[in-house]
Amino acid sequence: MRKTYGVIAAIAATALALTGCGASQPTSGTSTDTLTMSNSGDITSWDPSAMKEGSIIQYAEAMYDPLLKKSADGSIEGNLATKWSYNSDLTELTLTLRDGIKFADGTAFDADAVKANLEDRKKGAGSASETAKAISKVDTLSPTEVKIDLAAPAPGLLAALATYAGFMASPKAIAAGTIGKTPVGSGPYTLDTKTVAGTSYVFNKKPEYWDKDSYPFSTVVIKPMPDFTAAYNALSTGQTEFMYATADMADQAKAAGLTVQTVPGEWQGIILQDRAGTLVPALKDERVRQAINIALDRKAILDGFFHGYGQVSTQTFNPASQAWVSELNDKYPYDVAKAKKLLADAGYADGFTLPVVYSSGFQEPLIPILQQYLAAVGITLKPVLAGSFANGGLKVYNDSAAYILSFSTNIPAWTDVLNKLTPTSLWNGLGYSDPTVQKYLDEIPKAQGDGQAKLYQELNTYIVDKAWFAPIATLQNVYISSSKIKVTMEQAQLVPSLRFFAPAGK
Amino acid sequence: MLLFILRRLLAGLLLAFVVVTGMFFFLTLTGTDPARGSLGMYATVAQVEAKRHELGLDRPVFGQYFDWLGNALTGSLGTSSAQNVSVSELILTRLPVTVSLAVGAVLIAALLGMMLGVFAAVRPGRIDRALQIVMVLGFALPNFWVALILAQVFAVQLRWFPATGYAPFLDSPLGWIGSITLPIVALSIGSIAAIAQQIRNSVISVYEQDYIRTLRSRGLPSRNILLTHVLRNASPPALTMLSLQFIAALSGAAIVERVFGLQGIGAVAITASGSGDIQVIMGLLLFTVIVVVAVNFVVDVLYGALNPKVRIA
Repeated sequence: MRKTYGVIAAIAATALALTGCGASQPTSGTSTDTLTMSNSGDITSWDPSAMKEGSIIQYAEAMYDPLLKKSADGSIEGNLATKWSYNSDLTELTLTLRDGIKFADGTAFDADAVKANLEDRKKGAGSASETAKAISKVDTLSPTEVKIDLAAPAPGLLAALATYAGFMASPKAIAAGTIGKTPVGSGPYTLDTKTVAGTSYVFNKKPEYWDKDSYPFSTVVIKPMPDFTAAYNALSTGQTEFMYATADMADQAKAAGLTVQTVPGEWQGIILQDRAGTLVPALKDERVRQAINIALDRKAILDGFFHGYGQVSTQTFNPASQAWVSELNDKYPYDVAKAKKLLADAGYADGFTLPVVYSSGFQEPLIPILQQYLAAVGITLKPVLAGSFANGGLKVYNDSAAYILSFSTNIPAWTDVLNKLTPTSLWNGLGYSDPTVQKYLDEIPKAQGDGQAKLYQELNTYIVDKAWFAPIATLQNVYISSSKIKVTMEQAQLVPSLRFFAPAGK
Repeated sequence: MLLFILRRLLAGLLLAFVVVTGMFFFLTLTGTDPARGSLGMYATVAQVEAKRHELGLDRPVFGQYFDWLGNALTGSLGTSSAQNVSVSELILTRLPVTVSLAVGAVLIAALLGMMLGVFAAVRPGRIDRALQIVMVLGFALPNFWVALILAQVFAVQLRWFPATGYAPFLDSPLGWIGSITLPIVALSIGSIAAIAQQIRNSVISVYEQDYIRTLRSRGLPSRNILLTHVLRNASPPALTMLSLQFIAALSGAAIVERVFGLQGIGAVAITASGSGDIQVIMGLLLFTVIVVVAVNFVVDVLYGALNPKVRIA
């Protein structure tokens, strides 16, 4: 019998040795020449017309140059287009293009290429298509000059040309229909053959790139990692140098000597979509919508649920945008008695039932919290789970009286207007309109500078007064990076552009 | 024996056909819309309709089904609606990760489970009881939780293993072992417990048989009795358990892959179900069904080889 154990022990020892021996190799293979980061998204198509906003912008930027670019504060600078000007009624935008740029397949970048790209963007279903709708015609004036005709002034256009709408792909690859599978751009990097789709994308810097100083890393590696814990483990063991994180990781990261940076991001709260009261009559009364706003203890929810990473807010615009009015955040302090009185005044002293659509995942734990606050003033929140968009989720949201969702906030504020305030906005599913809001929507595009900012702020104030939404907080996006790199935070973009990364010493 | 194998093979094929067919119509009935899933929320109704036409989703369901089946029989699983890649390519490039995990987990489970089970059976009393507790614990711990703990301790704290990523075997055999060790341990813990429990019980019941007593009374060495007589008769039930564990490991891989940032077919399945990518879901399903049928077939044949009585049943 003893011998049997000896055999077993030997097998066990071999097994342990086998499994353990690959262990002690170094896990970090990074140098200052290489930037390795995780990304919560994966790029499923290289066609800029099919790309959907979010963190995938970093993959796109490695391959494609945009016409314009955004500085860290959200203002617009030239890029492939060096100069731009509007006509007096803001319906024609003329761009002057950089000369001597070539796409990776040798095709020259010129006015024809711009025209081919913008027309393609209009046809696509990616996030660029929303702004591209404003473009009625593209005229090539000369090889280096292009004129964009707009059906109506489009305040979000310049910013859009700095991202997906403006990413220039080779017109030859677009015409051939291969752009989705094989990217052909004029961007700073080429895609290395070491790339394994879905696992690791390796980009090598082009030695002859026209703006090479803006991209200090000779190699960039992006690893798609949808799981935040996996991404954090990779970062904390030196496999990567940067990640977009969740707020609850911040303290742990700081303690581990990693750099934590934040930037204002999405607003969280409820969209009270049925302002006409067609599904839930109570919502027609603005006092009811205000009561919902007053019934929420925003500070407690921010601290308890969102780990304090953000600021309580009653508004739905980006804090760095033209529309932001700080004082509005004092508008609806938590007050159960006042909320009850408003409901009673509106004829709902006995409360009512409010179906609220939500998606599974991180919003789920928020439901019982909101339920509790609303129940305290007599409103019964009935949770309705929406599926994914592929399973009709979009329709469930669009047909509902109210829903919670994380909402992006943008610079310029016009993107937010298009997202949720026009009668045809995706997140105004019941098509609610209001003459006062419509007046602002007509005037803002025609205005510029301070005049435009004033109109935006009046619009924002009106929306908050009428309680179109019940926002809780504008959260901080949290980013964690290693001490090897320096990252400049970029306003109103989910992840900073590649240009904002540099080795720590530089 | 040949007839037996043929009969089992036919039964397996029929099962695969029924499951795949059922799933196809089930997916169609649930209202999953790959067109909307692929284009996303910004797409207009007209764009979604155009995509539906492009994907052939506006045709009668039976037509779609027979097309899919015909293509599948010739080895073509179609193109992913959400990604610009063929389904076979997507599955084949991700397969090495998942197969490494599932096969590794089952091998480890077979080896350790066998040792623990035998050890518990031949050492009744305190050691057996202690091992029983360990086995029940191993069975009860969810593998995603084990994965999280292993990653935290052995990758983040001790740095013995890489926290994420997969190194292909051909690139670096040592790197490959390093990259799959923790995921395999996470996946195999439950299986080790299940197999150990099974072996322990079978070994004990075989030991109680009269013929073992006879062998002992003849003075045969204990090791001989254990290895040649007891284990041989105790292993068929463990074989069934092992096949079940392999199938469980395939499905458990989805979560474990995520924790370790591995891009296997589990990760593909999660992405595909989010975007309603029916072609990919069907491709994965077909693959899984074939594996399950094949594993069962092999087990059946082994059983038949071991025990002639099964062949008549």
